[in-house]
Amino acid sequence: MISLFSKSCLMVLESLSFTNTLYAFDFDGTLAKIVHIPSEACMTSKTEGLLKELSSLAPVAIVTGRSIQDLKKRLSFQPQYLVGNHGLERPENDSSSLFEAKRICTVWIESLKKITFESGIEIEDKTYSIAIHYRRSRNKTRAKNQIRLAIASLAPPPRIIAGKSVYNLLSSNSPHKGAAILDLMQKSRTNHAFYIGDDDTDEDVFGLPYNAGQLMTVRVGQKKSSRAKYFIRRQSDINRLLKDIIRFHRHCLKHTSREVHSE
Amino acid sequence: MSKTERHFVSLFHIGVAIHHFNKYSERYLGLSLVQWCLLKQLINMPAVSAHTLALAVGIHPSSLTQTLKRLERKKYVVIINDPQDTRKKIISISRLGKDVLEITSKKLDAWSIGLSDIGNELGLIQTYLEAQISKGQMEFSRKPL
Repeated sequence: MISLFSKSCLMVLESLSFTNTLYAFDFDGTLAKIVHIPSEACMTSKTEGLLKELSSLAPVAIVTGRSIQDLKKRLSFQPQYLVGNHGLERPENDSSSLFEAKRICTVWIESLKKITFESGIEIEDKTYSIAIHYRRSRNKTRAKNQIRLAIASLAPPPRIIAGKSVYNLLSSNSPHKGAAILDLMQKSRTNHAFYIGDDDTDEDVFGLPYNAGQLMTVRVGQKKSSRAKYFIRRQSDINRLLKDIIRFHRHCLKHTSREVHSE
Repeated sequence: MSKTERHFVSLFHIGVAIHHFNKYSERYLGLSLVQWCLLKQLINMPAVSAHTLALAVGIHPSSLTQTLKRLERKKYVVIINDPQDTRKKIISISRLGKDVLEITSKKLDAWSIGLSDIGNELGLIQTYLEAQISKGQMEFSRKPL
């Protein structure tokens, strides 16, 4: 992994602004800080303003584990594309797959309700998927073991995506964030995409078998085992990144309009 | 000299003329035709690997190296190591490269007057040469030297 803010990497990032590129962002831990209580996560007004500005210059997507309904509550504007539930909730998604995911989640919720979890473990029903948080648990190892045992008892067996102090449960045939990004690239008619995320759930995008030129993957925080190519050190660097992307696009726009006037 | 020989000599002269044209173009426009073609491709392929770029332009990766080094010296492209495989390189066009490409493309537009008249002939020469090469490659693969 190389730092995205190195001089040469910024030039690579700039080259994305010369062509049609989709800019996709994870929400928690990327656009918004990770907080103790997940329901309190939100973007700073500065980040939101910059993201809004970027969405007026290029196609922007937010790809999150939250439900779209939950995500919308946290945004004062709507970017071109919103993807929720780890890629399951997408624009123009097939309603039968959503219905099936909802049915399975209801069954799981009923089973989980019967289990007495220790304090600090919270079950979040995201309609089409379930998140079991243990961030507030005092003994994380014990909490993890208890959650794993509970998950093992679920039928049908879920697809598990481990995140930061959270286990996400999805129906086994539900698509992942990587599939959602490919779908968005097609919808937005872009050949290239930029994606930034911070979690293990984002590895599905980082590991897409795509040519380096078509997908630029960035991780928040350096991690050796990650398949992302570039990294930014911390979540608070997101504003600097957004400012850079906007600056590159504004420069291109200025240049093009100057050309049009001279003609 | 037979008629066939004369044709081959003509082909040789076309090759020499293209070589001179490339040099002239680099000197007066800032980019040779090869460099112009590479940058044109790079605009739509940001952060591409050398191998993919060579395939897209239709030249052998080893022939690409020198042209890319030249473009890098002029600061028209950025070449970095692939973070996941340091044997590979990632190539991107720089802002300066993009600006030069736009200027050169405009100048080439002015030069293109008269080119459309011989466009068909150029296409025929290209098709003939490519057909000969692929035919030759097939023969060589059957009968090694």
